[in-house]
Amino acid sequence: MDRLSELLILSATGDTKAFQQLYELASPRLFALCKRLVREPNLAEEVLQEGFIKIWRHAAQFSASKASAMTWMTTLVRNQALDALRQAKDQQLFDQDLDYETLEFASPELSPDKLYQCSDEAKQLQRCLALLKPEQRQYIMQAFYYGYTHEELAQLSTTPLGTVKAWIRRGLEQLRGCLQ
Amino acid sequence: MKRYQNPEIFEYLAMSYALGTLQGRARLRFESLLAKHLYLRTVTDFYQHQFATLGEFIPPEPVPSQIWQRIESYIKAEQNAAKPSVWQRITAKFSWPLAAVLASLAALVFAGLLMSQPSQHTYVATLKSPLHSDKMVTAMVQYEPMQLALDMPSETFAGAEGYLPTIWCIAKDKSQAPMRMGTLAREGEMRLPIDMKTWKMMPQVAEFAISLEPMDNLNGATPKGEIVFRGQVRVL
Repeated sequence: MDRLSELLILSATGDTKAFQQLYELASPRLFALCKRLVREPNLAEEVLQEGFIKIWRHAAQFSASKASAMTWMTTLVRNQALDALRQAKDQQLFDQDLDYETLEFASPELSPDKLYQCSDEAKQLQRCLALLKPEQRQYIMQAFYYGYTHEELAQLSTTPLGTVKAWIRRGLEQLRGCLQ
Repeated sequence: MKRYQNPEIFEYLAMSYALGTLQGRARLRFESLLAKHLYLRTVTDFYQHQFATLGEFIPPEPVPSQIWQRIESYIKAEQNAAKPSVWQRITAKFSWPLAAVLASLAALVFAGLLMSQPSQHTYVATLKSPLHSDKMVTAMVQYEPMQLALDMPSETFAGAEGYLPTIWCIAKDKSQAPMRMGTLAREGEMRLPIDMKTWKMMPQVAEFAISLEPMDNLNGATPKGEIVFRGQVRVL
């Protein structure tokens, strides 16, 4: 069992010191994800805060046999960020003028050092993503990291909506086959 | 549920939900189905966890210190708000000896958890009928709780009155006889507890099959009736 899982299990018993250590280890990466998804630093801070309060409250639901602690926490914080993003869009608080960022950090050609640090599940997903066509991979990763909808992806890439939907659908179908 | 009875559709929807591209009313509809169907939840969890590993590739960023301060204040306020219960008042008198005992117990439980957490999969199958393409049964074997969970839409076994729907495991090794898992209800969700021996056999299982057994084969070791549903077992 990895260190994060140990700390999360201890947090479930009410151990605040373990929870603080968990926060120190996991928050830098989760904060980076929140910033990409909600695109507004203050909102990203709020999402991270709410996300960790949820982690504290629901730590007892974590099962190390089903997922790694980082995966479990990422799912929880990302869902929190997606909800905040949808609310911001509904209330028109959302900044549509985006600084486009490349996805080089998740490129299929990661350095051996970087790959060494990743979990087996992440490596497997990376291998499966590498089998997709570049457009399929690009759209799926942009949807994950930035929470883009089909319409936003079509707008950003100046591609017809139907084409974007078809690329994503085929990409997901291929991923499904590869991951299983 | 009809639209979601086709595994091609609901797995795609589960993936879209996990990725975040399922939006608006479709997302809300899917969430209401998630609340009802354990199988959908399991498949969706699987893809959420798969996609979440993409988070590992993001370069970490410094986190403003005030976020932890706010979280810590929240936790302290929550702990202070919890009034001492009768049990706490009684135990306060014996706090040191009790704390020592509880700490020892917690250490034992935690050590046990650390040593006994095997990586466990979930085994799922969508069982289709060769005669009725609109009918489907979902079956799932979980480690926690250790059970076979089934989801059978209404009228799954319509017209099969007088027979006992029975589920079987078909081994990958075709020389082995099918293993009887249990008799099924006519429709709805159903849970059949399984034992560790059955769980350990799951990697060798190729298919689940449901047969309609005559009433005199209630506990029969091999299927006598017609196979009405079958589906390959996949590992999630």
